[in-house]
Amino acid sequence: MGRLKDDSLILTHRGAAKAHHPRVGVMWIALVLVCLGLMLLSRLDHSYVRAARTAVADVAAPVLEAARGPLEPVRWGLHQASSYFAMVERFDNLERQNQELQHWKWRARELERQLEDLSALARAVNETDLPTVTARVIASTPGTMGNAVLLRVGRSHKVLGGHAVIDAGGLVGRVIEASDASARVLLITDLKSRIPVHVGAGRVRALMMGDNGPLPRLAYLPENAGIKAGDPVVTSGVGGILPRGLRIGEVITVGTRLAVRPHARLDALDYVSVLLYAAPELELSDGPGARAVGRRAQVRTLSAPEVTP
Amino acid sequence: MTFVRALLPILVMMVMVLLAVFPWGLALDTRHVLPLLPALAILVMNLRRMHAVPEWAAFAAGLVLDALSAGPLGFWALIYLAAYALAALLHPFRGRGIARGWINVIAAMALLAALQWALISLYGMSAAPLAPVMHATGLTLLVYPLLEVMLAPFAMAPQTRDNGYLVRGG
Repeated sequence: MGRLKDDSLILTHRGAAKAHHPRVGVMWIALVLVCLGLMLLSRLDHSYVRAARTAVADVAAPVLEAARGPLEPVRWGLHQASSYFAMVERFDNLERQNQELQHWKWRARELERQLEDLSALARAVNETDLPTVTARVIASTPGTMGNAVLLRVGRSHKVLGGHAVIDAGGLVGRVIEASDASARVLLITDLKSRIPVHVGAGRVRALMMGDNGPLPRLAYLPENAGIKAGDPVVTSGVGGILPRGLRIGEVITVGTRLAVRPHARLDALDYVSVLLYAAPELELSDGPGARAVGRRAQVRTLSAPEVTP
Repeated sequence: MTFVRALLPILVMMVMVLLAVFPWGLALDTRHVLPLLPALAILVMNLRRMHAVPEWAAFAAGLVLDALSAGPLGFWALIYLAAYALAALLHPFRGRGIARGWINVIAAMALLAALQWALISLYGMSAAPLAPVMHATGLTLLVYPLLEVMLAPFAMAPQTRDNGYLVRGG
């Protein structure tokens, strides 16, 4: 009889009392309060939240990796279908770009030779090599609240929070959390993403801000900066978190504002590389014992890190 | 069979959450739809049979998605709980026919979009862009007829005879 009273059952028996409308109960209210509490803890960036997140990511990583197998043909099919329509247009563009690149290839070789000569002449110090770890994207978690991807590498591969992530096109984002076996990467299009950049040949400083759309916008550009569509956008290295000169994209005009079209294929990320970059941090001492300190011991350039955008 | 029928919608929810985080290679603005699909599934299944997806299952699905995403913990859990509450609110107005379903779902998804935008703005302490939320909601509504057909078998009520009495084991 207890089941007959259950409002989830559709019963039209005789003598049925007044219609019973389902309502939310005490459990619903309790769960909503839990959600609000969790959001508050997340806003405060509580260590428990980070620990819970990394623990879930570690548990889910093998499941997601295993799920890739059966779902891969569907993903491949979707990707092929979407790319087919753009193929003809892309082919024309690629042919034109190929011609241009052939020219630039010879030009680059010539400039490389000149640079070697000049470097030897000026006794410039070479930038140290930038080690990378390549990993596969096992989960992509887009949403109106955040754009991120999950990688199958973590602290055990020396990946730490703050490391830049690139694909063949350019900058993808930066690591915001790393557990032993997985790392979460905040994409450059995310609402929380703020990246100091250089724009154009004049290296005008600006801030690239994500807005959860596909085209991050450029902010804090000086007046009459002379920026035009097509100008290259690269990381400026300001703040020392990201290395300087990483390719990001090109300027486009969206209505009245300037935005960046990323070179990285953010909508089709598969394999990406994490740059194991340690930002320069110099000990402010000119004594004989002056040395780089902490884990940020690897000094990449002779110039001190800039601190203002 | 009753146990299996009770379990199926919950399993469907978990699978939809896993599918939502799978890197499909879709365009960025199109991918915003994926986390909204479990919310739509809660609406569709609970409008067919209230409590098909219980509130704890909606909460758990949202929490897993939160843990795997870059957003704050509790965000998607709250959205899915809101979807559950909206389904309960609209349940008395449900009816046969795709038109009635559309009206209910459009109303519910519009309210969910408003809640999303409000939460994002509140969390970021500034007015969030409205366009991605609206775009994602619009695209999700286009998926509704397909989801309605696909999820119908998972939200079936226990079997009853014509006279309304329960079938043994139903």
